[in-house]
Amino acid sequence: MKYIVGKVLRTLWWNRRISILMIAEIALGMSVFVYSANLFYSLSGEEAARKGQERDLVLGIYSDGDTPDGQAFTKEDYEKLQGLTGDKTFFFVAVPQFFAGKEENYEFLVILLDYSQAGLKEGSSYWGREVQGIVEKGVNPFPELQAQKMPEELESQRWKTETEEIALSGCVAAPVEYMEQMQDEISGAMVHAEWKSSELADAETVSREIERYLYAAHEKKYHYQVYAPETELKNHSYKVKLSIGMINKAGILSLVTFSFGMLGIFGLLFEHREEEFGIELACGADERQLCREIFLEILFLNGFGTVLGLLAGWVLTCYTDLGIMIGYIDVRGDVRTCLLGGMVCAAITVVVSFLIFGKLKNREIAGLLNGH
Amino acid sequence: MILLDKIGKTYHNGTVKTEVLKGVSLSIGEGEFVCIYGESGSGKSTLLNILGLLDEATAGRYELDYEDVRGLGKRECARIRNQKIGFVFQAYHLIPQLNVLENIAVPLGYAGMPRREREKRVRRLLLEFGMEHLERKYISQMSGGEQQRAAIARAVVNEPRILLADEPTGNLDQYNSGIVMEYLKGLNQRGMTVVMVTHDTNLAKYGSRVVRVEDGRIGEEVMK
Repeated sequence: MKYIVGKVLRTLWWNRRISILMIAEIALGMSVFVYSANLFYSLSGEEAARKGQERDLVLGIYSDGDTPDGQAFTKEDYEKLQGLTGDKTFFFVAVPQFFAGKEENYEFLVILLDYSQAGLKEGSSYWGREVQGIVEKGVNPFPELQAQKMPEELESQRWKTETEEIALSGCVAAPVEYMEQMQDEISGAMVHAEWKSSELADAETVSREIERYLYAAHEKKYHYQVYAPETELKNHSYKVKLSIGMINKAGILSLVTFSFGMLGIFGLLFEHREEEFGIELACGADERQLCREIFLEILFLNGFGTVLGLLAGWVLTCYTDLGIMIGYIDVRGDVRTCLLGGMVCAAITVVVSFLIFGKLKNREIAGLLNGH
Repeated sequence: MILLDKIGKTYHNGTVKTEVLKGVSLSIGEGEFVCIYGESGSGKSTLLNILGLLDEATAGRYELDYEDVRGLGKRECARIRNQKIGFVFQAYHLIPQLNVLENIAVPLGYAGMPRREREKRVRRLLLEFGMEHLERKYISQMSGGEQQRAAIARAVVNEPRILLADEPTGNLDQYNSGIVMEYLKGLNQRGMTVVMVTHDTNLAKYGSRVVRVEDGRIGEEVMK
């Protein structure tokens, strides 16, 4: 075996120009494949994570141009939504708040909750750990309420919008009754109501009904849209998926093309070496040794090309932004891509070796030596 | 040592059949130097290929050391080619990416000999052949005579009992032909059985026996 490995290395060195070209070709094909596979896995992973939030619905309120007169969302609207979505629905209105302090300015979200549903104590406001220090500095929009730490269960919740992820640890919870006094701050561009419903039977129908009700109730001054972040991801990522789909297809196509190309090149390469194999057989090599030699040679080339391709693909994934998923999804490498790449490498090696050795197997040695 | 009994070889190319050997019977004893002489296309190279297990007869029986080779598997045939038979070709058939030392060591490598032992044995042979200065050269850097001497060294490196030479001087000038023939004669004198194919009557004289092949059949035999 050592002898065969040494011979293979000598041969690869002797044909180093062709060897380098072939390694580069394999690496190129593999890197495109790896990049597209990583994009695919990143998107699939994100979708799977969001799937758990399928029933999270977000009410977006929009106005055209200037903020119209009138309120975009009232306590009555809140109660109507509660009625439409059922008793077990739990939702809140998030109102961005801005305070000018003595030394610095503060910006955080106030979450208006139905305290009885959330299991919170009347007479208190609940502060997430990231904003607790603000009270100590004398900034408190609710001085009449006792400032308390937000319960861990509530604090650990997060929700995703189109463009950001919000953690309740950076919010302040107040009773939903405060909606009236905060009406001026709830405008078309600032209301973000979200509710979870594990038992919302027909989210689509309920959502459309909510939209129709609010549109009519506010004299068509605002646009209301109920959407699920996961659906939005799908809608937004439709084009992204098309791009990824194209890259995937390009990656697979390039691998297939390169594989056939490799088969052709290896075929020619080994065809010109029939005399060499004939010499080896005449000198007493048996077929197994010859098969090992061919297999090892192809494995070296394929292996180096695959490793380089995997590295290049990961660099492309982690350090290059082709503008496909800017700020939307965290694109990262996936270990499954390496496994896939390894499997493709092994498959190509075995198939090409099999085909090439098959051509030699039943030829007479004298025929190999004399080229017929 | 070698017994051929009614050996036949037919090539099929589509519907065309070419009968190259027709019932060839020949026996070769240990230590003989047999020259197989014939015109081009007479079947002498095919006969030699069958002797060297590089080709398979389509009819007849071939016994090597009292063993019928038809019953042998491919691995066993490979072992015999490696250990019992050395082959010298008209076209030298050296491997271009290996230097002289590595080319001569090919049979030793496939026999599983460790590297140091291989190199030691090859260097001893190179010294014997007066080719030690060619150790690191590649075939593109060597003359025809040097290449053929390297090929002979490769053929005998495993100390085979039989040396088969197919027109070993076919591509050489007269001077180098003489050198190569002296090598073969020397090997025979040391006990190696040599079977050489040639179309040159002058070279046929080197053998202790000359066998003429005509149109796929054994013609006359001349003993010296």
